[in-house]
Amino acid sequence: MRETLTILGDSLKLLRARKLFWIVVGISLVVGLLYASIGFNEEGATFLWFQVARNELLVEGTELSKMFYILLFTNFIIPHWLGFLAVLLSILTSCSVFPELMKEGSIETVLSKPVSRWKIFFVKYLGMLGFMAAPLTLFCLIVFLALGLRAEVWKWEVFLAVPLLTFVYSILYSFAVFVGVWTRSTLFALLATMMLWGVCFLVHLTELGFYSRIRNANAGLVQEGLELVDTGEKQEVPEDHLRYYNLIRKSTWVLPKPRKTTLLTKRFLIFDDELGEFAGVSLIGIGAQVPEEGIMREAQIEAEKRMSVVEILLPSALFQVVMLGMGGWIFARRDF
Amino acid sequence: MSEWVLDLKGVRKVYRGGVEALRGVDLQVPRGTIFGLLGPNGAGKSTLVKILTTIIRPTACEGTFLGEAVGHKPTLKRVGYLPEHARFPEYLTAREVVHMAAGLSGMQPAVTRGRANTLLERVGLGDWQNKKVGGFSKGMKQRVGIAQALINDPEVIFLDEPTDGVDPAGRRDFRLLLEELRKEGKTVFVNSHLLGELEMVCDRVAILSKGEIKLEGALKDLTGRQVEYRISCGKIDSVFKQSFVNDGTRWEAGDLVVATAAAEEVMPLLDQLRAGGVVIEGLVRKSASLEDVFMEAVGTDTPGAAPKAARSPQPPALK
Repeated sequence: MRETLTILGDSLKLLRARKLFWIVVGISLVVGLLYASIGFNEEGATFLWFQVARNELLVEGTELSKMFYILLFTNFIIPHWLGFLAVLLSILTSCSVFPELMKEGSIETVLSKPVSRWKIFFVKYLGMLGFMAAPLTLFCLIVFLALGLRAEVWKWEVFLAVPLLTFVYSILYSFAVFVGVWTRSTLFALLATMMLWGVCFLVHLTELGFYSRIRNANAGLVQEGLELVDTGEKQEVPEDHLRYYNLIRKSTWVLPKPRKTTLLTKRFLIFDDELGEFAGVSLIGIGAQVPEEGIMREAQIEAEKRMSVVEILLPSALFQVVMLGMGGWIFARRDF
Repeated sequence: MSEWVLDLKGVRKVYRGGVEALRGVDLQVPRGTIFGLLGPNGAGKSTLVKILTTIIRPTACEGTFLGEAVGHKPTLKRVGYLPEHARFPEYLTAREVVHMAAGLSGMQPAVTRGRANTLLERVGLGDWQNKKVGGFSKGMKQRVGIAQALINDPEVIFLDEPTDGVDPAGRRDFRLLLEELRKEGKTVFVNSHLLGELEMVCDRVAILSKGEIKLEGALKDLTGRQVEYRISCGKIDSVFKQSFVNDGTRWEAGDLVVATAAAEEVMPLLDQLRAGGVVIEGLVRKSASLEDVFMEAVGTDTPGAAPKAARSPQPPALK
């Protein structure tokens, strides 16, 4: 136990020593405070002391204004700041930890202690998750208070973003650790991780594209500009589209799903019964004062829920187990 | 309790790619000794120490280390290690480095606090213990390394090139520290290229070359094998001089050199010289240095012993 606490304590000191960590904390604070500065009055949305939108849908106390506030967090801040930039900065900061640990002169002092290599490896890995979890917790606390005080929505589910987005980071970091331990190169680990992230994102987009096309065709919907038009009869789906879609869908069982996991926070945060008639409405729709029509919303809801939570989390967790297993095995077996 | 802290048989290490770093090393080291592990670069010294500290897995290894099989992790609670080119996290202070080593050895913070203070004072870093090691000189980092190697009050301490980058005063402090450790009954393994320094502190040495132990034993026995007496003489007749040359004696730079460890064998020669009217200007007993023993054991194995022509080719003459 003492050894575990020592390794975790060292991770904490490492966190404190990295400038990028403080940058992430700083940006989290700023973004959190900006979020908290958004409010609603009888005319619409405000920012600090300024009226930024005169929108009857966003009038203080309406269900839609509350929903807008939550959607701002789930649909904008989570995917862009927490799910992308914060993860990226955390990966950049922590990518070098294992290659540096394995440098001549460093590794010997650690391995010559009465602690198993597997323990060193896993506890070090867990400690590094603090890079993401610490600023995330701070950020979620601000959002939780802002939602409660500004919109009178006290949602403890906001804190579910901490384990979920730490999980997203841990998926990518497990790969960075594996490559870092294997090659002992920070640069290689970083490039490989970015590449994996990019591939996962492309697969996600492609899968979503094919899914939407097939789903709409089956429902007899045709895309006209930004609108979906109901033709009333089922459209034919090209054979190869179905084939590609099945292939991509199968590949998602092997690949981790950082993007889908990020978007999962919305599913845990907003319940359909809370939304009522506004289920499926988008942030842009509310902002533009033209909430989408029924079929658009239906399509949106179906697209968001096309994969079960297990389908999203299980392959990512398995991927992580495999990466950590391989990384740990190399770390435990290697002569230094 | 066994008298040996280390009792090894047939230690072999073959790296991937077929490089044989150790070719069947047998070694026994008694408790409470300062043991010098010498050898040219690539001889296998560090590999041997790394096998004992579980950093490298041996290809074959029989025997015991502190009464347990080599590779037994809990045994390392009783071991301290300063690796060659030791690097410590630059964000930690000297005190934190020592505390971290203690924590990894399973020591409780209450015990660590007092001991860390004492040790950092002992290695001369009392005033620097709260400074980050990132700003330390090489010598200061070595001192931190020694402190962290001793924090768990180990029975066996491995020090790999401990005086690398340390100034002369620091080296003297290091020798004094080794003396203290010897008095405390610790067994200390020292890997170093500074043979003169090792000669001053070691009780026993092993000389490794090409993965094999070429020579091992008590330092005084190894150096005592080549004792000679040098008699410095004043003016001496060349014919008379020649009469002294035989199997055990020779003339070297005006000195009569007698290859013996027994002083009584020198007495008749002194009498003969004095009877011949030769003035005795000096008499010195000289034993082989560790460097002599080392060079004899290693021979041409060391890169430094390569023929001069091969070592430093002469540039062609300018025309």
